[in-house]
Amino acid sequence: MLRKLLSRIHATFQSDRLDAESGAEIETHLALLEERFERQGMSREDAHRAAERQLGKFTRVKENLREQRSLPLLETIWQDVSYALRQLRASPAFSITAILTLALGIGANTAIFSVVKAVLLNPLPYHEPERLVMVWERNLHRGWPHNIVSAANFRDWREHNHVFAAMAIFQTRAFSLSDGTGDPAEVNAEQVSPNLFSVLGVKPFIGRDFLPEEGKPGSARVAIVGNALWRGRYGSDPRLVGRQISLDEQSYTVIGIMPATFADAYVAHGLLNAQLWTSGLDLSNQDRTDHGFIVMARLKPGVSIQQAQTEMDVVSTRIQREDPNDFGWTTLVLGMHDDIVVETRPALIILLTAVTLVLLIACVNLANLLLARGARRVREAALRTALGASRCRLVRQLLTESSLLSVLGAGLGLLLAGAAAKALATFAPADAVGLANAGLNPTVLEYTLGLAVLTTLLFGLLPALGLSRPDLNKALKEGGRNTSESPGAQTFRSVLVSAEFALSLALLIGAVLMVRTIASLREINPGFNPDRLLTMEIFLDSPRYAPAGSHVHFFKQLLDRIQSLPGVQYASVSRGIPLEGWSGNGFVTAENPRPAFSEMPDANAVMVGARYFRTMGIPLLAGRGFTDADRESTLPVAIVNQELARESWPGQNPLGKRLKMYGNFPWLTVIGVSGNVRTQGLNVGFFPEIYMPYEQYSSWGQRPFNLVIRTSGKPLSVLPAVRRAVAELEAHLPISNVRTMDQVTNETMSLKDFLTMLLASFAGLALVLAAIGIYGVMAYSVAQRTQEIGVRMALGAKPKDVIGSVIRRGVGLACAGSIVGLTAALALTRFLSAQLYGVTPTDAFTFAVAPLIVMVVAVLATYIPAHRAAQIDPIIALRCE
Amino acid sequence: MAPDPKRSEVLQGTLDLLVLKTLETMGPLHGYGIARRIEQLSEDVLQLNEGTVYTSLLRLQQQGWISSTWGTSENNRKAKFYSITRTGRKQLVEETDNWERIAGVVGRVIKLAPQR
Repeated sequence: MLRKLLSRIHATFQSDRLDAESGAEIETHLALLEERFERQGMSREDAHRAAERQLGKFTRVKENLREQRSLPLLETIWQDVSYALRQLRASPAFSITAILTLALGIGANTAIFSVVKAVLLNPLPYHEPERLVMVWERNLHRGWPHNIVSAANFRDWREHNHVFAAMAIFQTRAFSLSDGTGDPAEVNAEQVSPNLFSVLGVKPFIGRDFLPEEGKPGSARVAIVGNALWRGRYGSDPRLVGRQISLDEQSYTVIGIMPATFADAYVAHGLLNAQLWTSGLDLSNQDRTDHGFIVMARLKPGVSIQQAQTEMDVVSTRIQREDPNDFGWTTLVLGMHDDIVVETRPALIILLTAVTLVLLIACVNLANLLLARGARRVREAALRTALGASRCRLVRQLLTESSLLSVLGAGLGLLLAGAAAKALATFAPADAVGLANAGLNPTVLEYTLGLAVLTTLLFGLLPALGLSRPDLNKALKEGGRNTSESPGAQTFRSVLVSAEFALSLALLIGAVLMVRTIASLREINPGFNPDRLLTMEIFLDSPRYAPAGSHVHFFKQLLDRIQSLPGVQYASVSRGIPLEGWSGNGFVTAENPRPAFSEMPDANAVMVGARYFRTMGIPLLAGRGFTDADRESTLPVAIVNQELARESWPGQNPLGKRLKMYGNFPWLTVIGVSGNVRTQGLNVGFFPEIYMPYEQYSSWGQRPFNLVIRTSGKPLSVLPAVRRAVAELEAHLPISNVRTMDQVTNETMSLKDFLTMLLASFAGLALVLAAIGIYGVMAYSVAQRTQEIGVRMALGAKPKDVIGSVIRRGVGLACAGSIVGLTAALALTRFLSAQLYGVTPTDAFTFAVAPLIVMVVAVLATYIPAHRAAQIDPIIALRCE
Repeated sequence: MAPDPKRSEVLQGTLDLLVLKTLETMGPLHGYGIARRIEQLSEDVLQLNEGTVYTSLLRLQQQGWISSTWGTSENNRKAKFYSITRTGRKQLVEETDNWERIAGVVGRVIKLAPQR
């Protein structure tokens, strides 16, 4: 082999000389032939023609020799490829099945990997992102594992730690932006410490960053504008820098504009959807219980997250000792990337595992198809061996066929993946951050290529090795009828089919568990009626609403107008809506007015308008609702939910009891008890809640309020009229976050929906592949057993016996696979448990139904070959012998 | 199995064997001589495209089973004379065994009843 190669390499460099030599040699041959023919009595011309016929055209012969001398690689590869192409064309059904199987397997893997790459593997686009951390507060006693931070604690952390190079802090808020160019708009913004961008390691690309003195109280108000806002509202005008814009009717100077790359990354990583960053962050609040800020920090070089956590534990322990208000509050230091993907990582890992299983099934399936095909090609292999093909050459030929399938499959798979990645980005839940960046890029292409090579080896090598060593004598002795695979090979193929069923079943069980989770979530009563319920946010932040009670006046007028619109049943106002989170406030009761801080209960305090409960469809279980008669001047009242009543006054009538929010709040008298509402999410339990009439808190005007509107028809149909009603009262007041409560409900499930949808598709795909696999094996086995079946039928077996026997065998294979699959699923579904709700990972219903589905698929896939077997004409079958 | 359309490929294994055997029995020969010898022995059954003899010779030479020198032909022309090498003789023994085994097998295959 080596010698041949060397001789060819040598020849390649001497090709001219060698060409001339072989030319001379062949000319001699031609002349000798001509002389011979002339001696036999031919004319000169005839002799020349005859000689050429016998030797072959002079140039052609030379050409052949040159080819033979030259390097073989490309040439024989091309030979192999064109032969493989012919083989694939010769059996289109097989080829199409194989290519589609691979395309689906590889396509799905590429798509999911592109997501994994974008979300989990890409580093954050900041300077040395591995040194960036988020620092949270947590209070495990009260069940707050991941909480925003109080300004007072932040100040102490910053002063006393030795692990962070710098700490930045910010607060999110919305501003009403007006600047003389068009309508005012509500923009999401962050009020930030001046070092926020330098901690991240980014800078404005036009203008400058914040200066340290711009963090001091009373300094000039400045803002940095995000790229999207700059492009959208200001037409990318660089002269925006230096101009004044008005935020909530206060003037800010624009000092910089962030680059597009930053905006995308910042938004995509879900930190916040900010379009604007401003100075003016107020960190003077001494109250450690007022948590409202987000803290990020850069570790000093060489400091690990663990070391930072240890240091912060020391700092927070000291603060707790000094200030009893801070009792129970510790810190949590998380890598910024980990913090961002905390929700999506487990889901993506599950999906990646699932999709790998699908590819594995695809490979097993193909190996199976190739084995079956191989059995039919034993004679071909035998003949080729007989005619001088070496084993190496045969294996290469067969692997070329597999590679060709892989390449075609991967190519088609890439097309599918491109489309799928786009679709994934569209369907992706908002909280699956970074997904929008999913797409095909060099790393993903490398991954796909790797998959193609791996699959070729997985599904191609085994059949190729088997086929390349035909036991010629045996294969041929068995005669024309059963140029069959050995019983061993048949068993092996059965094992492969069973394995496909095992893998499919495991996937199916995962999918069914998720479907049942979604079903359970949908069955949860959120405590309110989400049908035909519209919600939107209004923020009366202009100084005109600074006077106490002015917002009450506004909302009263607005609600009166909305209430009288056609299609509106009820309308009310509230601060916050269910499912969107819970803000805890400590409270005390008259029975226990001075509890230890560690024992002070928490409740969600919600300010609501009259008719809130009726509008939301939250049942009032006792007492009365709020009315317009509950005013600032009347007795401060509250409605508590069942949960609070149960915790604070177990077994007693809560009506008439008194309680008080911790801090500077009045004592409240309980006048009603409402049903529990899911405030934190559908699958999160109930928490104590205190509802207060917003009219009794006249100084609370300049905060965002939600309108809630119960409609009789489609909720969005009343929106234009509502907008007009708002504009009539307050021109240019922005309305934001318009959603139906159905939407709000669905948003809370979007990640699970996403996971479920994909798992179900993968399980479906797996089942189809398994069905193809068992169909192939059974069809082949029926073809093999034609004679046997013929004999049986000749001896009186009925078609239904034949059908039964074939199906029994198919179901047997599926059963064997299912047993393994069930065992595997028992082990695997544990990893799904965090995603489940309302079902256990070993849910009996699921573990019973999924195998049934698998069996049905097996029976259906086996039926066609079984039916064919029953059609066998014994006479023909026996004559074939 | 689909019939292989390339005649020369079908003969590939065989022709090399024939050439090698001819060189062993006849001693050094040029391409024309080899073609004549095969023609004579095959009693005109084998329609040999004589150009393929040269491809075969080149193949055998690349394997190191034959060697060549320039000489003069019967009609005083320049011709290359080929002779079998020691490894060539060894190879010939192996190839002959192999051929006999395979020929038997191929014979049986070809006699098989057609498949439905």
